[in-house]
Amino acid sequence: MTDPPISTDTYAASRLMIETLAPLYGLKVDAMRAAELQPLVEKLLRHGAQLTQSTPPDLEPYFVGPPSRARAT
Amino acid sequence: MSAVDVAALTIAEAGAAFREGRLSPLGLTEAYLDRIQRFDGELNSFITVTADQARAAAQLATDELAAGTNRGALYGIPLAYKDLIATAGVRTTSASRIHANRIPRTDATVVKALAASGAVMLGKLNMLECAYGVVHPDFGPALNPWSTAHSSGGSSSGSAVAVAAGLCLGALGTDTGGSIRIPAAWCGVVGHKPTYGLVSRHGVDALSWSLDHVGPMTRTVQDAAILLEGIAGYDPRDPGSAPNRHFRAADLDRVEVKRLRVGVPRALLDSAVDRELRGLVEQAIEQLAAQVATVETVDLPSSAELLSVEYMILYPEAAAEHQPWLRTQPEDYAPLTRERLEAGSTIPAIHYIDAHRRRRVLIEQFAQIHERVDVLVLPSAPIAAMPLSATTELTINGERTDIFDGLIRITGPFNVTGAPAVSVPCGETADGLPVGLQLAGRHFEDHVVLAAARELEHARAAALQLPPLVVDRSLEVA
Repeated sequence: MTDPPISTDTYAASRLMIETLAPLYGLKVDAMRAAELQPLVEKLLRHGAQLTQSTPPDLEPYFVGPPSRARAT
Repeated sequence: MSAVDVAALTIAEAGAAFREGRLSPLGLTEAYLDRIQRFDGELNSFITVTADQARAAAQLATDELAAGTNRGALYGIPLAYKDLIATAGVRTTSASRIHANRIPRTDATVVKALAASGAVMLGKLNMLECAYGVVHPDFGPALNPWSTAHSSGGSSSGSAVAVAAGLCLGALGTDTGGSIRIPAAWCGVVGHKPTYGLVSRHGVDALSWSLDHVGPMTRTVQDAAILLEGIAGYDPRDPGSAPNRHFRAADLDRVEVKRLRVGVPRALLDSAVDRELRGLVEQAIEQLAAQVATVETVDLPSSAELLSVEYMILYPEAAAEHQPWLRTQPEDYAPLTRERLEAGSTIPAIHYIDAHRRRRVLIEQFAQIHERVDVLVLPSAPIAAMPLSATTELTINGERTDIFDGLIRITGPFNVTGAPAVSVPCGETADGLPVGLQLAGRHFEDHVVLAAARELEHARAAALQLPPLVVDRSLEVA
């Protein structure tokens, strides 16, 4: 059985994520600033969504460390 | 004692001149300080000139040389460092208002290492703000000496400009997505991004911990190898530092370049590189082909995927690093730096983790490519230096693309994998702008990559060029 594709509305997601900036991190983001940030945030979320939707399971992350640790096991 | 043209001098030549008594560290240092005073008012490559400190170090080296002491290839060599590398007692700004008055109490590990080698620090170099791709108006751009109407690249812009203009013998830069290789290419100098873990990042401002690299920028490949030897080695204070790894410039001589197999990612050249620049790169590949065993076409992993992985690591790591200042003094950043940092704060953790999961796959895919070829060859940038007026977009073969996307697509893959990659000059456009060729290799085979680059440099047999802005005003010292 194949999982259904995830539908990503990156515009809506970007608006939601920008709304977290003030309450979560204390950043100074008013409505005008939110509008300025929206295109870049949407673009980045699109990059992230593509990765998340196409990454196979059972794959351990590579974090900081010598490259020899990065080889798949 | 014969005259020496300091503007065209290399580290290797200066060392020989010291040993033969044709030049002294103090005389050379004074010559560079004079050139900085005469030319850098226009070029703006230095943020801080440490003249007194330089003279004291040069005097010591001169006295010790006279007494028969020589601490090696960097002894008495005048260098300068990108201004995000901590220098004890010397302002370290990161070219940002955020750190405008910061004076570190200790040196970065690389600065300590170079001081121990007897190198002379001339000062701290201009850069794009916090290494994040934007000029802060308080500091202004470091101007490209080949054409002040064109960008010097970044973020190690001052490092490239100072070396190209003959204001120092070598410089240190940092590279998170191409910040050593792009300005090196656009200013006509050599820039090497070492293997991740080979050079300590301790005491160097982070942009993205898992993508950042410190490396040399010089006039020749041999000089890059000499400077890399001076800064390479394990540092327990850097969590990413690789134990038991060293680099010796002499290892370049042991590489049998004639046996090397070279791979060219022609699909990337077709799709992402300016036509005129591509022609120059193809000529350089032909010159290199005559020196190596084989040249074949290879397919790199998806550049779109590589770009996504770079962004999903770079943006959130930079945002995390800058949270304290982003919260308290966001107005002090240049507008685009602030925008990138705030946008990076929105990235969900799952995307960051998935980027690191995909990174593992990409590293494995590059390792498979390197079972067939020893060195990859591609341009260092998709275009020659872009006009200073370009702010957010660049045009490649008539198509407009985001500047960050267009540049990082070519250099960023080797930040994602952590593999070594060098940019070496390989020609110039009809407009007289330098073009760089990028050579990349296996992890910790920096000597192989540099040996191949040195072979190309020799095959081209191009005399070291000085930019027109400073060529007719070089100083000779005796």
